[in-house]
Amino acid sequence: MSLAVADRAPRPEPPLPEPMPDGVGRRGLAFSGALHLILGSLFIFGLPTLFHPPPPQEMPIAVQLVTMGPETRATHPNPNMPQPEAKPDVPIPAPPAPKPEPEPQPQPAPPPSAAAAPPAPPEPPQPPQQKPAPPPPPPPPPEPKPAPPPPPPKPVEKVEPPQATPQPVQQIARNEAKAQAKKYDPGQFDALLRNLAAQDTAQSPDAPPKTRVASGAASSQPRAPLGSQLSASEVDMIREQISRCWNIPAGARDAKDLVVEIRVAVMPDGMVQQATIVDQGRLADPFFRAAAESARRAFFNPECRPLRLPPDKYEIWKDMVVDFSPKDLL
Amino acid sequence: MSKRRLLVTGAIPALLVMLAWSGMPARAALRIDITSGQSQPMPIAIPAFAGGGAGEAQAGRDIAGVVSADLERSGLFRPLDPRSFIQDVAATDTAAPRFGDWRQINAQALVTGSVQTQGDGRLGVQFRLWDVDAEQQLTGFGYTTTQQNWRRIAHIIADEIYKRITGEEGYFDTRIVYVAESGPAQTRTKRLAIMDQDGANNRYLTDGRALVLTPRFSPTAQEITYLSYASKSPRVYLLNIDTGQQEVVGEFPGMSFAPRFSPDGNRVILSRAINGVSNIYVYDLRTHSATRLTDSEAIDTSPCYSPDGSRIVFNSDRGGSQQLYVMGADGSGVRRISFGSGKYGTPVWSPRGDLIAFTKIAGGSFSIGVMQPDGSGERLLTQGFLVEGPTWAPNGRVLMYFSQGPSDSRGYGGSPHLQTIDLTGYNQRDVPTPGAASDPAWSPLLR
Repeated sequence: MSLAVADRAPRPEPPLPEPMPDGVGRRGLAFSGALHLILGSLFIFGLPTLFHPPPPQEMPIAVQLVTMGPETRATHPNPNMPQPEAKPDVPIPAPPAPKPEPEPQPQPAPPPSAAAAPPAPPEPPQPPQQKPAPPPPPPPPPEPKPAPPPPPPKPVEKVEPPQATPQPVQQIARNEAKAQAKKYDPGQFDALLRNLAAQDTAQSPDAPPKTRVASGAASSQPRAPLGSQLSASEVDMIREQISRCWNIPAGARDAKDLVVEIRVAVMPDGMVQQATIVDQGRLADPFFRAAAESARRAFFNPECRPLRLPPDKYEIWKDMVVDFSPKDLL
Repeated sequence: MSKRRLLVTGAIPALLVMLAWSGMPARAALRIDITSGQSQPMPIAIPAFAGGGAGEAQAGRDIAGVVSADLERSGLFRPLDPRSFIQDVAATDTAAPRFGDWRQINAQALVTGSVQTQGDGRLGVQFRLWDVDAEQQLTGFGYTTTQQNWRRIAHIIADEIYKRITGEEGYFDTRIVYVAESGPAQTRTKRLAIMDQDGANNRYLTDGRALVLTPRFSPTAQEITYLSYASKSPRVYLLNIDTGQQEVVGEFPGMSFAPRFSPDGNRVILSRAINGVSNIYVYDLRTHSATRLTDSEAIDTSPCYSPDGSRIVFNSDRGGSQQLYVMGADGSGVRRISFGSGKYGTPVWSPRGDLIAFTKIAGGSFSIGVMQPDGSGERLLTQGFLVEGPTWAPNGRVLMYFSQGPSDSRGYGGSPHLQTIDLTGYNQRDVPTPGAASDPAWSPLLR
């Protein structure tokens, strides 16, 4: 240690740039070291809480605390703001615009692509259909892939004719299917980004009330007051409701340990605004994908629109993660 | 000066991190576990595929009808009544569907498609599968084929839909070979017949002069091995479906029966009876040599390979009553796996490898059941006066077998017919055949 210091001491001499007193340099070093230490410890101790959200609040103790909930919650976030735009207009779709997606309009609607303009041109007949080109047709690179938001009719892949002895069909179909599966990813990622964006905007509505609180009275109100957890019976109720909406995928029978996480953004009226498959990376696995999509579908089931949740606890359930696992099923 | 700079440069990042930290909203607070759900068929809308001319429109209707029927029979889908459809499909294929219209009738999935006749007279068929709630295209393919081949296209499309929604391979683009029976019970004519999995395109492979039994597909679905009484004693034959060419498997003395292909298609495993004792042999189709695998004084028969070819399940009465046994592919390590009351026969290893299906005879009635290869988890799926001879769909989720009621004293009535049942035991269906049918064998997926 000291040897190293001794060695190093002479070295800075040649340039001799600044008249920096030794003491300062060392103190600075110490200071920097301390800061780094703080930073480091922040990461070490902070990370777990960042990525592992608190365990489900199903403990019966919550029941007792519930009574306090409404009192401590001085400010109600939901009566404000009628929410941007009517929501997922499930009912009567009068306007032909086939994009009822509830996304707050500022979202990327770059070129009003195909789907956005219904009575538009006759729609380019079909994307570049690759003509037969037997065995290994280059995995359709010419996918036009228009802006992700609206579901653009992807080019239908061309497959060779299945003849009486149809070996080739399979091959090609397989390849193309694979190619398509791969191509699927970017779209999914876009969707994820969109969802994240939507979640941000979804949260913004309650920003105003918070600031109002700050200027008004008790500013030190915790985001989710202690007494405002869902009670066990409330959790049971929502679990039962979602269970009735979830149609278990047939493939799940073989994957009892297949757990799907769906992140759900809920509007104050209980309507699900966004339901996102958390683990996008596993969508390449057809079993996972089938299970994940079936789980996400649960939130669009009429039985689950709206979700029955206590309105006064909106802050708690406006953003939740629902784990679907078919382990009890077979 | 420099001290301050140092402070600033050091502190600013730290402060930034802390700020970012405190500003970061707590991640999703509420977590809910769902461990139970419904097991309802999925509502799916399959409107007729769009077609320009009259012929194309008809083909579009036919294809949508076959796709719909395939999916419905699986028990996992509930095709919606076309009369409830709001959006006219004519325009559907050119743009994204009006999802609201389909949500309104509670469709969770939507299939759209189109049919065009091409310059060379062939049929071009395209389809897309949509997730109505997510408003996304899930999959889409196009096919070209001859006019007569439209049913296969429909089955292939149904397979794609099944696969995309369930994550499992489908089984609609498959065929069934079976024994078609006609005439009174005393002088029954038995012919080999082949048809599509849904009963369409039935045709006969043999003329009925010789009694035939137990047809089985090769892994390529191009060949069938079966038992025939064409010569004096029953023999195992091979038949090429396309060429009609037949040959005897091994010129053995005595009688050979209960043949089945190995998973690689290079061997046929069968039973040979000599002096009242039946043992299991494997016959190599390339070297034309037979190897004996069992050596017992009992009746060992109905052998069937595991899908990886490493093991063989068979039944034997070596323990007194007929039970199931598993051994290595070389005949080593024989182990009994069935221990229930009654007799067990016709074991068939699932293509997925996870189950063995069998016929069980107990208490005066027959059952079709499944158990795991170690003998655990026995489950009976269906029961009847006579239900026998299970065969697996290529995805290992559905079994076909034949069922027969009692016949009267003069031998009338009680014709056998084909049925399917899925692994849940709830979705049982009759398979249409032109006449009486027994001994079905399900092909692998064609293509």
